[in-house]
Amino acid sequence: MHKTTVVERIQNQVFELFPLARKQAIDGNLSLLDSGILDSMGILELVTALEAEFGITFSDEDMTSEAFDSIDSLAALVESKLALSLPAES
Amino acid sequence: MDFLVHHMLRTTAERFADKEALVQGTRRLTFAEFASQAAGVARGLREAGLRRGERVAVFLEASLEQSLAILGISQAGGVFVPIHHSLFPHQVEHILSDCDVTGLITDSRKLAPLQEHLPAEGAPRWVALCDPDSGEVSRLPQYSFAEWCAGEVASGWQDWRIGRDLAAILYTSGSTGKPKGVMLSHENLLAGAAIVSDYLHITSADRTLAVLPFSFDAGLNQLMTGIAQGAAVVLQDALFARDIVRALQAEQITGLAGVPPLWNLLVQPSSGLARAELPHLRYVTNTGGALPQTVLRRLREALPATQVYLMYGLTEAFRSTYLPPEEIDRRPGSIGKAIPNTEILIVNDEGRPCGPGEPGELVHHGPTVSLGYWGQPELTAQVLRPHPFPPPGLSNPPLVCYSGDLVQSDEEGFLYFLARRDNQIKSSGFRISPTEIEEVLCRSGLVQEAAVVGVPHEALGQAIVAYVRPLEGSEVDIEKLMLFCAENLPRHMLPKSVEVRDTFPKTSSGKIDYPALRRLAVASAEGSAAGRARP
Repeated sequence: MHKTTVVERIQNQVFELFPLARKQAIDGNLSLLDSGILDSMGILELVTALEAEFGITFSDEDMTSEAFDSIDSLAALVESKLALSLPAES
Repeated sequence: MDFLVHHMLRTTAERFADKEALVQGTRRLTFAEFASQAAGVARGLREAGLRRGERVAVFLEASLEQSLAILGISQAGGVFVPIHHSLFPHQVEHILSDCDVTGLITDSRKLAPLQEHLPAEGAPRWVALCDPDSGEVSRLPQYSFAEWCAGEVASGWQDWRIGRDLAAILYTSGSTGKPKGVMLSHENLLAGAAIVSDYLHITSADRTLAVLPFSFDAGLNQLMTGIAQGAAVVLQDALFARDIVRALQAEQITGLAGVPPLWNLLVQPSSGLARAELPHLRYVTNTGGALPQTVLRRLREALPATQVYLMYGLTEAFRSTYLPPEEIDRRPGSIGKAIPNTEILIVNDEGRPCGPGEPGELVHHGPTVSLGYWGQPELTAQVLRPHPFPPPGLSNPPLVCYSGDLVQSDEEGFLYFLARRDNQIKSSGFRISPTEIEEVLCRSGLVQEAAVVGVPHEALGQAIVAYVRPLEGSEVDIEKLMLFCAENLPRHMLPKSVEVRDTFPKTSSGKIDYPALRRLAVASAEGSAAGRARP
């Protein structure tokens, strides 16, 4: 259940910032980078939005094209940050 | 004597044959290789039937092929038309047909979505593809760019052009309508390279990181100065700011030109700029909009040993003013003074010169004044006009460029940008015409009327705000409208916000009152910024 929530919250942020991603998700194409939906300014906006949404801070090492390529890969990154920042119950 | 763009490459290839000229990832070309492959492209173009002065579009990401195409087209006697890689098919099609290109140099991935937008007859008549394994993908005659590059060129090559001839067309937006092609002569480009090399002190010891696209005047100038001086140009199309910082280190970059959004990315902590050792980075330059003072301060803190040049220019005059690094602290917000060999005038509405502190239009006189807009004599005549204060005895005063930018000077003649005279928007370093976005909004069929303005924005220069009037008896589906925009406009042209209004402020003649709408948008942006709690 937890996983779904994180994915959905990321999805909402991505769809809000990048309307084309919604259509693409329906079309079944999941790469945000190959399609050019995410450019460098877009990544910065997404980072700012996700940091605010989850109360996390991305580090230098987190900024990779692998991590930002899809909603699933972003979810994996965010989950790993959440696990670090909230070690106990959540 | 060097008077054509490719002459600079020929001369530099003789002086610095084995020196690095272009770098793209792990691919590297020396000046000798660059010159020889560009000559091969020129031969290929002529064999494909190119005649003097014909236009060839280059629709590619930053790559060795893009630079080879530009230089090859120059040498073949053609006119190169670089097209920004993020443009959408209908925008590319506008450029191809507007200047009636003979050929298109691209790759199969970029050609595929474009195919259905290409007319059955007319521009372009052939394509050259840069990916070697593309196969036959076009119904047009198709050439292999790689084969052109490998071609041998016999001695005794004849140039077909002189320095005054058209070398390049750069598409840029005005305040209305579709993008227009600014025509640059070989003389313009050579003068721009010489002038910028002079005030940035660029020599063969320099290595510049080219992140600005070559479809943009300042971007193209990076390539031209590198070729003119024998400096290496490292091509970079980075997604993450830290990739740029890594390239600055790994490639021992000495000069970096950027636009405000780039500096905003680089001063984010995650870029690693402040922690990086960059002993080689001699200068950075900003153009394409004012750098916010906060970003400038953080940039200078991160790069204490690097000189910061703030520049101002418009495509119609290529490059215009710069603020020397030593003046930054004394004159915050200034765009500086005229570049070398250039006269900058400030002219008021009555056509008289302005004194210090008196607002007027910036007027540019010098060797980088362009040849005007392709196929647009009336628009050209509005922007390129006779020198307002010609020397006595001259029967035909030289043409100068009226910028449309309102500026004023201080007592020492340093200039300060005040505002645009028209409704043109500048966002992310791009010039954007409101009508282009309004057309897409209306084409969606979801709104009755649309008006687009720019409001000040820290990172983007200006953010795009769209006002829309709903269809009668219905509500506007904003989500659907934004999706339509995203499908039809590149990201830098997407509205940041859409506001629904039942009426628009109008002028006495019934046109949309843009200044009034802009005031509304600014007030609303300030209101929401004040009301927004930090999450």
